[in-house]
Amino acid sequence: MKNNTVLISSRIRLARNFANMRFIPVMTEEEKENLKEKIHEKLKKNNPFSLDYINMESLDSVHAGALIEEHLISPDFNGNKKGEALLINHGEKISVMVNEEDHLRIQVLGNDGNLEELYSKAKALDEYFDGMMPFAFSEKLGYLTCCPTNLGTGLRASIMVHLPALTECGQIDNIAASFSNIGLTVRGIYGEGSQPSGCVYQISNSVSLGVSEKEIIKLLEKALSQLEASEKKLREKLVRRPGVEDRMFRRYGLLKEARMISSKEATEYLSDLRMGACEKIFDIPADKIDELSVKIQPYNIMLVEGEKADGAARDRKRAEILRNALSGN
Amino acid sequence: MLCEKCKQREATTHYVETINGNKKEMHLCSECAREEGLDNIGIGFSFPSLFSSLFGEDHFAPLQEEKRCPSCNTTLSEFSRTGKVGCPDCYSAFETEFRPMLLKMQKGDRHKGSRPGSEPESDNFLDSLKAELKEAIEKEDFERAAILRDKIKEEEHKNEK
Ligand SMILES: [Zn+2]
Ligand SMILES: [Zn+2]
Repeated sequence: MKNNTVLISSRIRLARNFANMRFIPVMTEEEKENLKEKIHEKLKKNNPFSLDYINMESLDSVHAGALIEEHLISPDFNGNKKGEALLINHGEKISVMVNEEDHLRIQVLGNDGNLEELYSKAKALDEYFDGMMPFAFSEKLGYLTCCPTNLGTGLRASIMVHLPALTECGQIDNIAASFSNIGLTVRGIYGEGSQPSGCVYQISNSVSLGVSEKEIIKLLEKALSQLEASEKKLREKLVRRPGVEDRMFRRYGLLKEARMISSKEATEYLSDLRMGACEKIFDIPADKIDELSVKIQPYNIMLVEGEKADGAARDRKRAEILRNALSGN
Repeated sequence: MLCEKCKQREATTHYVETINGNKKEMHLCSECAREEGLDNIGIGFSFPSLFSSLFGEDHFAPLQEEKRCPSCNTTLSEFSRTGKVGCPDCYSAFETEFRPMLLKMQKGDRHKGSRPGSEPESDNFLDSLKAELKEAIEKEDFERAAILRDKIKEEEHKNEK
């Protein structure tokens, strides 16, 4: 069952490299092109995961930016470097980056907390690619990766969580410190500077060698349930404070009526709206708000409005998207 | 001595790099060293400087020709700058040098978990025990070898059932 009080999405990422091949930092452009072609050819013959092949150099910056905003590719995987390709099943939220930091970065996204299920999807992809060409693997160090931080399982499991009450009560630093002791890293997302504007954080395992996939997933699941419990307790008190309640309703009004709104402002207000929705103050499903949070990002707006849309045009479009989405409520 | 980059502040970092036999030397002030990513104090979360700090300062002034990976030619100082290896063989070429770093940033230096192919996890555990046994024998750690042998027997017995 889905509990999205704090959970926005979860992700499994596997770093893999092919054996008998040099790694990205010392590969020539030609070698990278060859690897891309080889994978493309194999994909044409057998494509069980219905992956589309995209040569990143031919993908325009708006589409690339929108994929980054959806967390389907990493921020510097935007086609500016030569030799990158993306294999993607957009509907299933499966993406495989070819020639990013490693030969392959296999990624599966989901929006319920079931990391185990996501992992078995990723593992199936892993086996498919291993069937193409064998992976670089050592009995001692596990999957050999370009950066030693990914050795062993090559697994980075992460959850994206919304923690408005814990943020407002100044608890994030404490959480980050105690999580770091048990092998988890906390990062703010969508933020400028130290305070993430949307109270959204990404939590992922910091260690990949010497721990099994199961242990990593268990750790993340434990972290999620701890965060759910402590965030919930604080929220119940917080939303009943007169000042906070008033602020939430004002911001809801603004989101419903504004004619122009910046991405920063919208993100901040949607955070309050999401908290209110989860606390049954507003009758909006939380996943609708999560979808909106992506749709109002700059590149996603340009996807609809065209890449010529400047800041002011985007602010108008953003306000329109929000009005249309929230007017029924 | 003045910093060779800004030519204003006192140089505090002596940096030596050897690429393909060409020795490059630089005397930098702490600020320029930081700009070049050569400082190893005050690590945030930048990987290159994290690696430098895990390695300690000594390799910044290598006296002789540096050790390099026979397959891809990557040197240790290249690794400590980028935090990235050049090929799978780098891990065996620099095994001794990497060990303390792995112990610090990972949970031990032995893989636990799945492996290529879809073998069940119990086999994997057995394989890792066998690998450990081999290593114990090589190191002549017979006490540990005996313990491992018992564990292996136990596991094999479990699997037969
Ligand atoms: Zn200087
Ligand atoms: Zn190498």
